Amino acid sequence: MFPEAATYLRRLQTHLELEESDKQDIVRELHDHIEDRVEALLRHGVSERRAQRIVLEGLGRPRSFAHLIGQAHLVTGWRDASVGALPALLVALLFGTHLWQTPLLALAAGALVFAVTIYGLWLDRPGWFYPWAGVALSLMLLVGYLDYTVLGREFPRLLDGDFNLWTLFAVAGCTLYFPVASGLAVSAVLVAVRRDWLDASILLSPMPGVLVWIISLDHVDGAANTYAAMSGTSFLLGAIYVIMAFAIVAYLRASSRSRRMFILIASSLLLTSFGTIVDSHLGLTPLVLRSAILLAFLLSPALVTRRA
Amino acid sequence: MIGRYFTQLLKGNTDILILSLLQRESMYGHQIMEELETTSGGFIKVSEGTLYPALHRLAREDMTRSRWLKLPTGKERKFYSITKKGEHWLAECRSTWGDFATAMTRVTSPAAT
Repeated sequence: MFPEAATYLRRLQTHLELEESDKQDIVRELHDHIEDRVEALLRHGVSERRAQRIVLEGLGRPRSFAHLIGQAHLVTGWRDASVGALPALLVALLFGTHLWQTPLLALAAGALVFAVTIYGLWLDRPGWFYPWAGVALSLMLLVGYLDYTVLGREFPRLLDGDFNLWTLFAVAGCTLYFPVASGLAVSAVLVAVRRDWLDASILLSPMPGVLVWIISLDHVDGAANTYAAMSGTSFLLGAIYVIMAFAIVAYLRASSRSRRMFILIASSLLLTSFGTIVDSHLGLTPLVLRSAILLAFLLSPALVTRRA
Repeated sequence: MIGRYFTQLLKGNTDILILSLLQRESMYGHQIMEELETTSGGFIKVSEGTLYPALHRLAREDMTRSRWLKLPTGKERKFYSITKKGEHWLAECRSTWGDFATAMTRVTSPAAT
């Protein structure tokens, strides 16, 4: 084995996010492959130096190769699974400790979520990507709600003939946001569905919680009362996102699609039941209805993939 | 442009190509690469970055199984063989491929004048 190949295999082994036995098996297999390929090229009259270069070029970068193999193995390693749970824990922290009420912190958390999502896109959507992208989409939903409130305030002014620059800018910007954000969200879901509809379900999973929060926010009359009135809901949402973080780890670590589907359904039912325990006035029919809506929403990508 | 089209075409058909070869006999990675090139008259060349992820994915999907076997030279290689599930899938793919190829030929053939 020539030194560059040995270095390549060592680097590959460090990048492979697999069980140790699988790692060793892959490295051994590639070691043999490199040996065979160099020998074959030498038989075809290629110089030794050139043969070695051709083989390494064919393998690509160790990191990319490891990623492709990891994708093939589907099961996400503990590290990636933990990274996947981080956005849910971040949201839980913001809600559970009421830190969302500090605009600077909330903005920093939002920026972090978008930055990590873009980084995940650059890495070609590793295992942890979809939970982050899901929270990014939920934030877009939240921004949409803020846009809606700005529009509700500024649009009547425009109708009253108040054509100042701020009003025009706010109405135009907020109006433009909806088609752009919807387009981005739909394309994100479609891209995820093309690979695996379960990925799209994970992408959509943080949305119901945020949607419930937005609906609750909308019921609070007056910004001054918002923080106080939201205290109870915030804590509940924090707890829901902690459960979601555990569900994400279990989901990403699952070794088969059927297990992943089971975890998705079970965690949805668990979360709905958890909400019901807190809201003790809820009867059986609304509970079943809530569960059905949540499940239909999360499993909807499967219908898209069947049509595609 | 044509290179990109060909790459996409190849990517979409790597599984069917691999399984077709494995249906003939069990093979190891390098052997599959060489066999693909030889059988296709040098037209189809897959890189390791395409072949091995595909082999591992097919194994995880129970389309193939693998085991280490000794070559006559004494060296050990990881041989892949097709499973019943892989054979069923391949049969379906072949049928779809046949229909698709016929339809493509009909559509892309220059119109008779």
